[in-house]
Amino acid sequence: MTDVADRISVSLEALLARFGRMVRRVGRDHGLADVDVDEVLQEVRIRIWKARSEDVAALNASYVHRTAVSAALDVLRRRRRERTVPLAETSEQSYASGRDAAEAERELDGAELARQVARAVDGLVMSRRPVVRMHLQGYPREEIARLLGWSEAKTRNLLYRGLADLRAALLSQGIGPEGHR
Amino acid sequence: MKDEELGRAYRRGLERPDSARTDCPSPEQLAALVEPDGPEGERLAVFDHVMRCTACSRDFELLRAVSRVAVEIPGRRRFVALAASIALLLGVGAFGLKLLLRSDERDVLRGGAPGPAMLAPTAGAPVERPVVLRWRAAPGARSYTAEILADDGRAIGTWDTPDTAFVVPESAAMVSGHSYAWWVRARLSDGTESRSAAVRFQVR
Repeated sequence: MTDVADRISVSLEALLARFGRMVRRVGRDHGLADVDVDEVLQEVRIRIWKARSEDVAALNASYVHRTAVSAALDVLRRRRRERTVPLAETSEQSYASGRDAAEAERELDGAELARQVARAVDGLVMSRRPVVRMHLQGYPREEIARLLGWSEAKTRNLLYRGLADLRAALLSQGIGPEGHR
Repeated sequence: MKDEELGRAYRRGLERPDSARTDCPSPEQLAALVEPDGPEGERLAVFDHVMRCTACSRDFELLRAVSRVAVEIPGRRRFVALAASIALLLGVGAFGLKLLLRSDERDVLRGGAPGPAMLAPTAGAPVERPVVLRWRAAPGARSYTAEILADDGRAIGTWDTPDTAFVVPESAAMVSGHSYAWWVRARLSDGTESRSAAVRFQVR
């Protein structure tokens, strides 16, 4: 019995470890948190154990992934319930504290630029805005096309137009190629 | 401004506590983005929110990564079909295959272009179950297909993985005392493939 349990455990852990590695690899470039992956893996582990599978090793990949997607959704639902909006920090104060004046000024310049870029992106037309946001977040064009269900040509076209609009909007605020007024 | 500078400024804006955490989409709406599913206008609006809301962005990334893996692995089905074809071919040539296995100290079945180097099991090595296959990464490889062949050339299992190791599941039903051969095919980023040599081993 112990032997069977050990075998199941070893198989399950190997399966989960493999799955976790793959998920981390996919999300690595976009700030996927290890703790999030661990939370999902723990959910999957519990569900599979609860299912009292006689032979975990025989579970096929699609079952594990269906379970994982469902577990991820549950993690998000739980997180939404627990989510609270933190008190807004006064960013200028926190940026300035404990630093010299020149550094603080650079930080404030950077913060102001971030605000202006955010405002300029907010002003883009809806058909171009999400693609520009995804691009600025670092998603590769192929991934953007896949997620939006667009052709590569359509994605490229709307992205270039969106970036041109963004640069024009920034220029109208006095932000040129150098990045500041 | 260059794209990199724009990206930095944009991401910096996202690091700050923002006001986008109102009207956050439901987990189901996030799942519809990953599918992708639903009317384009609706999806664009949800994407627009997700990409400026740090909390939703984190949630979306988790779902995207989990689902993406779910998308990649069913590719296994394609390889099962491919494996069936290979098994058929190998079945026809099983006799020749055996000869090849027995006539070469290194148990090389096939090779050609430089492929993943096999690390374990090594040629002739008796191994315990569960059998763990390990190989060295091939340059430019995006994913791998590992395959185990029975002594008669029949494929007993074919598995896709992005990793350079694979634990053979019990469902492969490998029998103690029997000999098997394994090999790995690397799928490269330029769309081509490279194959390892095949290595024969025995299950203890």
